[in-house]
Amino acid sequence: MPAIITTEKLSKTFSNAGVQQHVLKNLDLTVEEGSFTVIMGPSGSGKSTLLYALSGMDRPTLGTVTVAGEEISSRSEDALARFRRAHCGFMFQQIYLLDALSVMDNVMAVGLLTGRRAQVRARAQELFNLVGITPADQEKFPSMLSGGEAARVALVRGLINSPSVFFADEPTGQLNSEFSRVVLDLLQEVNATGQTIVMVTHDLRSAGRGSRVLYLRDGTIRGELDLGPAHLDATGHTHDAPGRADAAAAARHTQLVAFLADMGW
Amino acid sequence: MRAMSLLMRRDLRKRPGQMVALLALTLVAAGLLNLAALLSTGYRSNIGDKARHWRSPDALAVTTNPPGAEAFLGRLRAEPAVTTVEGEPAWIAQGRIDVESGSLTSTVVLFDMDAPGALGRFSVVEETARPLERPLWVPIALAGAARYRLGDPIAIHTSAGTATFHVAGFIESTYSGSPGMGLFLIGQRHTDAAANPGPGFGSGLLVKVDAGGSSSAATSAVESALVSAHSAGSARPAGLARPASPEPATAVRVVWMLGLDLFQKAATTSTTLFVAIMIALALIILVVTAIVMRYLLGALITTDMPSIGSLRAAGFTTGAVMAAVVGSSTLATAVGAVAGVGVSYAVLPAIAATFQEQSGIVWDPSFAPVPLVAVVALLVGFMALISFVTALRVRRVSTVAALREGLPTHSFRTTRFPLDRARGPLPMLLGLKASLRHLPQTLVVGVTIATATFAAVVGLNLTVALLGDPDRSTRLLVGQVEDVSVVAKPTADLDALAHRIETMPHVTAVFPASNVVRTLQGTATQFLVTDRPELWQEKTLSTGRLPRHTNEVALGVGAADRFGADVGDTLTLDLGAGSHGYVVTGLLSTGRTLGQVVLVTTGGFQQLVPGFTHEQLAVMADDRPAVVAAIGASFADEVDRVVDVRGDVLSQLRGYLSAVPLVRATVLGLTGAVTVLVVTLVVGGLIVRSRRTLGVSKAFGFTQRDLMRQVRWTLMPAVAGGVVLGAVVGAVTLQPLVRLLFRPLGLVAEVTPEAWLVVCVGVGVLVLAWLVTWVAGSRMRRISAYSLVTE
Repeated sequence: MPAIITTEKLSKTFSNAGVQQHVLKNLDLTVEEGSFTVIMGPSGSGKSTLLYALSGMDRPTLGTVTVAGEEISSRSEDALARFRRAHCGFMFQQIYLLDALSVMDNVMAVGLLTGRRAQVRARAQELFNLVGITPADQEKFPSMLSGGEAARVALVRGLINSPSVFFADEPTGQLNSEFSRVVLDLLQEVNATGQTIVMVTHDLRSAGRGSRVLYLRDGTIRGELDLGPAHLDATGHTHDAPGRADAAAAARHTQLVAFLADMGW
Repeated sequence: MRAMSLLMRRDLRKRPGQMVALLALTLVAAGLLNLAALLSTGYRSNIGDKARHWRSPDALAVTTNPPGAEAFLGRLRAEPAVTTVEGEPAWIAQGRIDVESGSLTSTVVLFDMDAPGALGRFSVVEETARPLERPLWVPIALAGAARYRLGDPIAIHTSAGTATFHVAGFIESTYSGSPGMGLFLIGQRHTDAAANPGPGFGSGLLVKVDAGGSSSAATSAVESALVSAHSAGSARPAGLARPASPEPATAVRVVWMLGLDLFQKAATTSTTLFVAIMIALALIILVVTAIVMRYLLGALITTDMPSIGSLRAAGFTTGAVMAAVVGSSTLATAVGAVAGVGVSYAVLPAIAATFQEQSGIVWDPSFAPVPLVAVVALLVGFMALISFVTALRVRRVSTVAALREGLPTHSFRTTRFPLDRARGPLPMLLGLKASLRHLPQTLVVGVTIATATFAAVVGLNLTVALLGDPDRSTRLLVGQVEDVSVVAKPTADLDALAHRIETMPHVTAVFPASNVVRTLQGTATQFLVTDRPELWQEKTLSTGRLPRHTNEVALGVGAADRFGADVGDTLTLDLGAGSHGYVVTGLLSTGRTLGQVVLVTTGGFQQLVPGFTHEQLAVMADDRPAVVAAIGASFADEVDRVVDVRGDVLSQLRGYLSAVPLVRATVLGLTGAVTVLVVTLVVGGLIVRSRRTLGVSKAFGFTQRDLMRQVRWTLMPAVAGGVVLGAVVGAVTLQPLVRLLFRPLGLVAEVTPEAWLVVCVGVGVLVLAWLVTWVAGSRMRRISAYSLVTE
């Protein structure tokens, strides 16, 4: 599959009171279109920094980032904003739904940046149906939602513009296991339709849903594990029975644990 | 205590912008209030104290000094109410003195500074020791208005010529020296006082009368003495019967007279207005401050709830947390108030100098602790109350709820402008939604802008439309006034004189008209006696019509209010020759003697003063200086004096009108400052409160421009609404306010709001708010989506 994201010597340094902290160091990486790339690593390894550099939320100190054929490393804030609205969707750990807007308005506000009202409304309904948000729920405000509902709304918001890449930063970090499973199932389902996903997580169960795991430590990629798409078997077909899916998941989990152990997790 | 101060320091660090804004607002309010307090107490008491120090007489009259003067003085001393009379020889003239911006016309009296006498003393403010040719000690007002310095030549122009002197010193005394009083008392040394100073000067008397502290008794006594002296053949009050046969040259004539009460009223009129304006502005600022601080403090408490929860969890009581909030606001207010009082003392000398120009009395304001304490206490108490009331909401929230960022919000809210259905640009819809969601803030902005706009509309219409033009101001403040007044000599044929003056170049009308000041029911009242009032160019009749018959009068509104009379009422008047009833046909707007004016026909006045005949002619001219010079030159044998009345009045008004641009600038400045402050605070607060929302929006692709448009749509509808409300209320209430302001001065001012002014104010405030929103909102540019999302 062609690369949707490419970086060349990507570096990010923070300065604080004269002390420099090199968070990302000369990263060369590629994310294929349609892949579900998971970025793992210990705390302070630069996972979120990498995510936001890849998504144009933050500018690298050195190096280049190319997303969907556009080099974004040296763009202005407004240019990056316009880029993000067209090519990026986000889901944050803290969800960050705008509590002054209803569920529908939270999604429409992002959708209307690029699309016409009727089209955005139709797309929103399609996504709401996908994630199980009823019309009644769509009129609620974020304070009235459960954690799972809020996460699903955040997912819809991130996908409303059919982004080139969906970026998720610890999407299950504040969810219980039931809601986490729901969100991960949805991410997997969305990925199965061809949506490229880049996810940062420190959760093994979440990481197991990805097709490729990158291990980040001290600002560099120490290892890479190719798990293949979670919804496909070794031959590239969809699992034809739940039992086989569970067995495949267990095998992926074992593979992942071994990989992480090698990485020093 | 240490914990409390710790919390207060934390609170101060957390909202430096608010503290600075609060400090600035209270500084301005305190400065204005302290100025008002000092002017209404110190300035007034200074005039009274100096009057007592100089033993200023209850009335001062400037008269001619013919051989019959001693008899007149004797009559005056015999008046029952009089306790002391002093008559000093002086040189008198109707003169014009050149000043920086033109010239000042006034009755000029050169008196002997070394003459013995207890009443009406003076102080030398400044003098030079070097010998000068023809030295004069001039009123201190000339140092300000005219920029005369010691040693400067000074010319006094009369209708008969010009006399040149040199400024040897500056003096001040109660009656001496401001154009507003129509008199310049100028001192000479005894060695110079004997000789006639120059062309146009005649022998006169300074008559100083004490009447047990009663100005009205003193002026009545002078009038009575003139009447009785006339009966005895030695005096004639101004406007009294000209004898059928040529009058002997023994007649004493009053050229100028003023009672101490009226002087003090006139000297403090402008300060009263100034004080009223200061207090009004201070109140507006306080209202704005209270509204803005209540909103901002409330918003701060809301966003700071988790920290408040933490503090309470750690053991700080609710009272301690509240006390920190109240304490920090109170501290900022106290600092601002003290600083404001300090600033007011810094500008006080300049303000004192302005009023000194008007009263001719030096005021050296000194530090007054009582107003300082009162102003600081008032402002601190006020802000403490506002802060306390706002901080009460902290009590309603439990510690756990506070930690969870909970001020409880109601669960159900109506979605206005739902994005899936509402039409319009996205930033507009989001901005309007935010505006409606934060309705208290929106109302705060609207009310504050409305208040500022209202002040500007009223202030500008007053200072531009009403008082901006000197001629219109003259008409308003003085009323009907002739261009030139000619006082004929007793031996002159007034009618023949009038006919000849009428044929002169630049003369447009001539008619008999006399101004006679008499004490009526204890108050100095000016009688305008003429059969041709309609010949005056300006009409200051506010209601009814001018009198046509002998039993009719028109009253100045000041007199009407005093008598409780209105158009159609019958008024009984008595000037000592019997009571007569007059129908009030109209009301006049005139500031002469603060509206204590009676316009009456010649026949009507003759009922009150039997035998009255005119001795004055009113001349309307299109070139006053030329006409004054021509009459003086052509009719020197028949004319006692020629007065450029309009020039006189303009001179008198100059000092008052000089404050108009200052008031205008102050009003505009305050409107602009309030607009900038409110918009900056609200936009700043919005950015602080919504940092995360803004960051998330930027993350999802909102550009700086999108967010700026959203902020503008949040704010500008409230600004626009406030502008419209303030402009409409200002325009509608302008006339009632003007009525309220000018009625006590005897004026009926009619002003229609100038549409262009109202529009300019509205557009100006809108543009300013737009610009400030752009500047304040540009702070968002420095914040990246990443930093906002991850903070």
